[in-house]
Parts: sequence; structure tokens; C-alpha cells
Amino acid sequence: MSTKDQAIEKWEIQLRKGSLELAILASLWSGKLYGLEILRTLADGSSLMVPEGTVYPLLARLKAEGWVDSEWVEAEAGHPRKYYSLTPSGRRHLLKMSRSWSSFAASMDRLLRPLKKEER
Amino acid sequence: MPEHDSRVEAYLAELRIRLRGLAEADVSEVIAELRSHIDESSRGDAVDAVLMRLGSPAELASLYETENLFDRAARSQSSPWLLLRTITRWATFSIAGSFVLFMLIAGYVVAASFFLAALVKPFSPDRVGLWRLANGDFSLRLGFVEGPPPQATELLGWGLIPAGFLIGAVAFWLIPRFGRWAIRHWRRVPDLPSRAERR
Repeated sequence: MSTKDQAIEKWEIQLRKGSLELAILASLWSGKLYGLEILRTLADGSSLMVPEGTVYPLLARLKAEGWVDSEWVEAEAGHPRKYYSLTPSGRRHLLKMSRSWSSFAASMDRLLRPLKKEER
Repeated sequence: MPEHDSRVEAYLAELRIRLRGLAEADVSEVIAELRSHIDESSRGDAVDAVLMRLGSPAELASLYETENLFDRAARSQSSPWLLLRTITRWATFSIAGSFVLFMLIAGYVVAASFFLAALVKPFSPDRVGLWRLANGDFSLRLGFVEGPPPQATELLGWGLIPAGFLIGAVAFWLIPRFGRWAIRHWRRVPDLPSRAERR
């Protein structure tokens, strides 16, 4: 991999890292999920490719912040699963994050419009 | 995954040892959650691949420990020592953390200097004081050997004693609050395990 590609990869890692909290909270918007389901939702619904080991400590933090809650549910087969769901304050926090993200993305899109014409 | 796969048991046992900074109930919950994750993931994937994607026990424990330190330090009654330990760890992976650590240390040095100046002033009134130097700079001079700076004007006189205690006390009160505020508002996810990044 060339140095330029490595630089892009490094930058993408930083970008993903910065949006991970928003992505995890957003995956819980429609209902409760357990850790592996959150990872699968993020992998299917986005190109986030989340490092698995990072998600669980981050979920523990979101719980400590009071934005998600958790409960253990017996699985039909195998070990019980720890399900996470958004708390009311977590839903409000997520809505605020989503508004900030949309406004930021719109600004970046405006800034990048001339480049897109060039790429065509 | 076969029940009690020795690789999984060794992985979780090492993780348990490395999580000794967490409360026992939290450790058991972490282990149970990861066991459930490994169990379900390894129905479709090799156990070794599943464990590699999670990162090593050392990397994973470090993430949990950091989150745990941050949580404890951000609480209003956390000790200044815990706060300093947490922010020192923060500084190892973040520019924001380095800035906060610098501010904290600089703040404590200034606060301690004012306190010490107020304490020493009665014993060495001519050598301890807040001086305005000839070039306009201020100098808080502490010492028993050197005299006051040349052509300098002392500003507070005996007033340095109450002022020093007051400024020192306010600074000691404010600095940990700033540290906790910074943790609550500026902290970010720590660096990710390098192997897991390249899954």
C-alpha cells in the first residue's frame, strides 16, 4: 500500500472513530439490540466496519452516561444476551447529534460540490 | 463453539485478570457479554478469527479500564489524585488530553506557589512578594538567599498573605472542577486496537 493510500486509510479511521457513538445510538433508534446485532446493523447499513472490541467498552460508557439502558434476556440457544435500548435522554441526545451531523454534512457537501463536477 | 473451548477460556481468564481495576460485578458482566458474543460469532466463524477481531485481552482490558477511569474521575466527588491519573492516561492518546493535563499541572503549580508564598512571607518578608519589575513584568519571588529583584516595586506587601491563601484556595477548588468538566465534554473514544482496525 502506498504512503498516500495509508494516509487516506488513517484519515478514514479517524472519521469512523468520530462517528461511532452516533452510529451506535442511531442503530438503537427502532428498538433494543444486543452487541452482535448492533455490529451487524452497522456493517449492513453503513460502511463503518466497526472494530468489534471497541463496541462493548463504548456501550458501557453510553450506559454510564445514561443514554442507553441494558437488560439480560435468555436466548433460545446458547448464552443469555445483553440487550441495549435508548433511554428518553438518549433519544433526545441522539436527535441533537443527528441535527448537528446533518448540518455539518450539508456544509461539507456545499464545499465539495466543485470537486464532484470535476470527478464526472 | 464447543462448550469450554480452551482458547476462549484462556482469553476470558486473561481478560478477567487484566480487568482488576473494575468492580467484581462489572467484570462478571463484561465476561458474560463477551462469552455470549464469542459463542454466537463462532457458529459461523473460526474461534481464532472471532478472538482476533475482538483484539487481545490486553487491548480490550485497556479500553474498559480507560472508560472506567473516565467514569469515576468525572464524578463530582472524585479525588484529585484519581483525576490526575485519568487525565495522564487521556494525554497518552489525545491532544485534548495533553492540553488538559498541561493546564492541570500548570494550575496546580501556580496555586501551590501562591500558597507557599503566603506561608513563607511572615518569615522572610523582604524576599517573598509579588513584584512589578522595571520592564513591567510581574514576579512572584520565593527564596531565602536572593534579595528582591533590582528596581522592582512590591505590590501587595503583607496583603500577599490573605491574597496568596485566597488565590491558592480558589485555584485548588477550580482546577479539579475544570478537569472533570473537560472529561465530561471533551473526551473521545480512545485509540482502537490496531489489529482490530484491520479486520
